[in-house]
Amino acid sequence: MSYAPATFHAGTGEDFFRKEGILVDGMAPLISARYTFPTPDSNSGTAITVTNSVGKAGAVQAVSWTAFDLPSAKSKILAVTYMQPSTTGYIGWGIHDSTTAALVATIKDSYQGIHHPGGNNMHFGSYNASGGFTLLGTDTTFFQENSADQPVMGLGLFADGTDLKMFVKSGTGQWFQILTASAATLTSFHQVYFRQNGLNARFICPMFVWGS
Amino acid sequence: METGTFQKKGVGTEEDPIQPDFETAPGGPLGYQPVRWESVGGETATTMTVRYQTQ
Repeated sequence: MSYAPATFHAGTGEDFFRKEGILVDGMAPLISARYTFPTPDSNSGTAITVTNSVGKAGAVQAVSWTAFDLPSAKSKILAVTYMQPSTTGYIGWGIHDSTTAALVATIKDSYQGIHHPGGNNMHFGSYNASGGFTLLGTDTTFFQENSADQPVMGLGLFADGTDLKMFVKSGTGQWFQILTASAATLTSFHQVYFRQNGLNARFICPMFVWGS
Repeated sequence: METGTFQKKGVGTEEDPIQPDFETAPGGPLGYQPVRWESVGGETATTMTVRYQTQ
């Protein structure tokens, strides 16, 4: 049997992100959950229940986030996982800046990338220190429906100072970059978080976060 | 893709986020909502500069 690195890394997207120059030397794995979903550090709204490789949101519809603390603040982050919206209106990733305290009731100082079937788009944006939300890019030419029969989708969010990028992978398709923007100036990240509004949304391993 | 500067609209909530108002381009309204757009930086208190897909 021959060694096939592309196949080996297919589940994490690592091969793709290295080839694209997003995941570079010096970025260390901060969360490496290949098969077992990590225990969240905090949450708000509809909680997710962890069972083996899956974090599944409850049925109640509510604006919700589930956060994972990073071991130390990082200026460059790549966060990758898989998700299935079920009937949720939106589902995605956030990267929270450490200049404010850990996430509490409202989200502030963060970048957020969202698969938004309820709005027929994928988009990303930033929350400022007051919690105001600014869209930084929207693509209505690719999204999946919010229904239980949709394929699992990979979603990656990369932030490096003002450079913000979002990546997507649908079903057994390929990873690709869907949005890139020059963003606000968040530079010190200490949490990543899942964003959903309940309704049985799932987050699925592998879940990886790299940073430097 | 073209680049343009637009007035901001929205109140800053998730339901009504701050975003470019494509009806306020310096040369007049675009006349359509771009299916895809991205910020290119240079945001001011009242304007956003974005790269957008033309029709």
